[in-house]
Amino acid sequence: MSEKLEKKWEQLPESDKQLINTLNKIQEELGYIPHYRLTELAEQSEVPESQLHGLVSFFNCFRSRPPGRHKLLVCYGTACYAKGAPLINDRLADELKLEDNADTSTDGFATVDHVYCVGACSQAPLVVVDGQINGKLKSYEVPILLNKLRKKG
Amino acid sequence: MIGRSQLKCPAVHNYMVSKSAWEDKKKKAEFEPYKPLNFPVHIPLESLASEGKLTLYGSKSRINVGTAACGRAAGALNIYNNLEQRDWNEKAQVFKTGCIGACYAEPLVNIRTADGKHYFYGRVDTNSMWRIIRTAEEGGTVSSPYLWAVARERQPDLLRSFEDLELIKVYNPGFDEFFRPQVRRISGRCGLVDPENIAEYVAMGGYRALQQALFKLSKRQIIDMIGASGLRGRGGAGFPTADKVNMAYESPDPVRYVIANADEGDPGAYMDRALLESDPHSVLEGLIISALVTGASQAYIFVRHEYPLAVQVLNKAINSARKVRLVGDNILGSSFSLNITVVESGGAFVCGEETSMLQVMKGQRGEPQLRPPYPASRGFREHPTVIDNVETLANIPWIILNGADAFRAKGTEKSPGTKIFCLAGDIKRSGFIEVPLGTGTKVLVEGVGGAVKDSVKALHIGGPSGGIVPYRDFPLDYETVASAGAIMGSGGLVPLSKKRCMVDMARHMTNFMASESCGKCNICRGGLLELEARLLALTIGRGYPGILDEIEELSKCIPQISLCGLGKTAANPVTTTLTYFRDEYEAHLKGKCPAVSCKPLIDFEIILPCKECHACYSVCPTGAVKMRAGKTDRLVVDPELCIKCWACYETCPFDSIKICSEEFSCKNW
Amino acid sequence: MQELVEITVDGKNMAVSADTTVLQALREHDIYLPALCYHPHLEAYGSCGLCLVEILNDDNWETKHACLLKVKDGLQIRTDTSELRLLRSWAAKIFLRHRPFLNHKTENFLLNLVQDEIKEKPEDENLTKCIKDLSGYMTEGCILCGLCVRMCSKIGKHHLTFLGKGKNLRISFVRGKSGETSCGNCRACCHVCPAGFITSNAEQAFSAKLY
Repeated sequence: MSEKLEKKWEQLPESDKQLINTLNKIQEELGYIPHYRLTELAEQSEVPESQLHGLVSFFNCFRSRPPGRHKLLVCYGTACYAKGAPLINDRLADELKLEDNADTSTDGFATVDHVYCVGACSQAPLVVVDGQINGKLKSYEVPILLNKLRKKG
Repeated sequence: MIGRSQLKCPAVHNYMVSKSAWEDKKKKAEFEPYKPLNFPVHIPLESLASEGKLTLYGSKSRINVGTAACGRAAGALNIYNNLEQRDWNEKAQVFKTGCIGACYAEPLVNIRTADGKHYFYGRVDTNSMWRIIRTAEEGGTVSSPYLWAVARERQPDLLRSFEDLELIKVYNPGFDEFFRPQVRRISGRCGLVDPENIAEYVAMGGYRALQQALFKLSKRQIIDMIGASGLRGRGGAGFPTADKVNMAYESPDPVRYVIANADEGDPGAYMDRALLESDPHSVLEGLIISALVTGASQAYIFVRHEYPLAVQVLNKAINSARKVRLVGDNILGSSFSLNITVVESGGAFVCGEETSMLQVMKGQRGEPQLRPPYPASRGFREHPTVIDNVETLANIPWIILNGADAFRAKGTEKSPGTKIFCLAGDIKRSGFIEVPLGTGTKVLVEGVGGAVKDSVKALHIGGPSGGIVPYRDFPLDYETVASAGAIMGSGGLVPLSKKRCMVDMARHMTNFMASESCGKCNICRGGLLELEARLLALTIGRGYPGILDEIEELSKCIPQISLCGLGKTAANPVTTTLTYFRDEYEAHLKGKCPAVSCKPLIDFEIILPCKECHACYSVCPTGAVKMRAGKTDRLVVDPELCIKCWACYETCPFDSIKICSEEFSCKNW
Repeated sequence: MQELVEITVDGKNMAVSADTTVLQALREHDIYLPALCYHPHLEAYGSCGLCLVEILNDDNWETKHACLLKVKDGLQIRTDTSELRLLRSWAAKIFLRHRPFLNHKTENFLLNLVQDEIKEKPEDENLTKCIKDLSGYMTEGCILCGLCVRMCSKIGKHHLTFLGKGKNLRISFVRGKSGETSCGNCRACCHVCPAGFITSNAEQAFSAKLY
């Protein structure tokens, strides 16, 4: 690293020295991590851009494409899976007409993703809708849930 | 020196008294609020404790609403808002607390009245509000199906943990059974303390261990104490904690680091989340003592991305500790300084592995590295790094305050102490519980969990790296579980009933591991995929001769060639189910699923007596339930359209839907 | 004069240079253990799982990767047991999932490691379909050994990286700082690729992109 940059790096608070924390901040701010932010970050921290591509794609929660308006996370933890999470997932994919490998509906309404345990196993099976946990969900309640979301816009 | 008079200073007060009390004071006082102090102030622990006691054992009633992630999922925030916005007229105060462990009872409210009695209300909803209000304002028991138990402080005005309470009246026997076998040493404050109020933590005995460690004990004494207690890593590996600390302590390198591993990745296990959300200071105290002994001046907490509430609570706790000089420069006025940084992961199971975590903290992909060298001798930035699980750290203050012998008083010889387990699955009462190691599975599954005898077929211990063993009564400690072929792991216990297909469970676990493998080793990445494909073929009835031998060979080869813990344990679910439930595998080869679960192998049928209520007809998403003309058998399921979603089975009020897989039927469950 | 230590390989004693790995030491004596992800100029990686040997530890024979194992005096090694052949056979089978390879020599070398009984039997078509449905990314011709990524980093260009993890692992070419339009065509990656997947340059070979 160049000396000036090394000095600047040393002065950063410890938390900002962690690339993963910076990536988390960008993800939270924009809902995904755009390419231009990675290029910027590569220059600022003097790390090869390819390393950042590898790092971003390694984690489940970082997105490289914008998400839908609503984020639905189906919990696929052990307890939730045992209590019927795949049924809910299939129903969601059906109702939102998700194509094979896509996780976002074509009209940008919602993104469906899997999460491997949020730690609320007594409420299995559950779907996290825009940050709120909806527990003890039945697969036939899925259309009702989606309608409520549609009314919100 | 800060004199007592300055403690009344509203600025400092702000950090120690809960928001509603502060609002009250602001309304009453006629002075201008001072600007907050910009530098941390050393407040003696005694003063903090007095502040905490004001809210813990006040003359007002105290209403605790459990608002950890599980509580919020059940709607606890609504309950809290309703209660908090009420004008109590000085009679009561409402607090957001963490989880007391009885997650099945969420939303849970517990009320402490001035006479030291605690009223536990379970599964609270809007109907129960007025009873809660009545209890808070007047005390005494108002009979109600929501009032599950009444407890009292064994010694009035002494509440350091759940262990200081004794149940005096039990209205819901399940509640008593849930808590009876428990010894809540580490999780004792969860659900009782306000996690955002450091003064309450200190009033309950917190940070006294740190005080002792700083001023009364030498580092050698502390390491020896931890060694004598026999504390083993609670994150899964069960490695003796003192050995790890010793390795770093005796290193010639002057720079050391400590990291708290809060990347609890096992699906179904959430002990660390519960601890971090309900009692973050216990983890911080353990971390600070660990850093003191290791000789570190910088500590990190590596938290899962999927725990946003825990990250929030943790950051608040660190800030409030910093403001009273329990973190930062010159802790408690001593020469020891420590900075704590929270690092939030991005969602990867493998990062719970030490060397993978270190790679991510270096900004690289989380590929585990070969050990030796162990992180305790060469880790973060090539310096000795002690990485401990959050639950392990929470044990350290307890050991210092109570001694190694008291620690060993519970548990077994080789696995001393207590462990927090997460019980979730086919049982009535799920939650997180703390019991001595060596407690029998029967006590946990049937006593605490409330499972009906003979309804549990298998026990899944240790998450995706663990194993699925047939349910029988055996002691839960590291050795016994390992001899059964599973690993204790971080403490996830999932009892599985006859409805759960073992082949499908093994497939699900293998799918998880195949996706979470870092991908470096060809055998792990490719081998798990091959294993998953074969298990999938079985679950869709496309097995072929020789498939079981191939599965067996693969599950033996993968652990032998893999370089890290993930690969070495990824085949455990397959190995254990193949050993103990081979009959299910053989049945799948013939196209049958004994648990009547695998969709392509089951058929839905409407049987008599069908009352033709048409519930199934209206709920079926594909129109597979058809009405045909005729006097009898008018509703039928069209197998071509049926997607096996179980909606009809769950809706039928007359038990007229039969699901079968050749000779196996759901009626046999 | 380099320091020597004595090790025993398949019953034969031999003196090898200290401070080398078992793989390197055996090569000095013209014993070539199968190894796909090894390159003398790169740090040992241990991902292919082919160079396995068994070493005697107390009374047990333990399986270890030869490229990661340092020699020490008195080390006892076995290179060819039925157990090892089975392990290598499965490792090779998993590599061959990505056939056909442009480099026929590597393909034949892997085929020779697969045990005969398995080679003759045609694979069940249901299994093939399941593998297809489940694999996130199956790059035909690339065995994901990572030699190109490590080489490109070693020479300071940093154009290649792994993307994703587990089933979804793939290799991507990243342009890097603006101004550098192509990878420079140093062909280092072409020279190290064992499967012959990179023919002209990495940019043309790897189509996976994050953006």
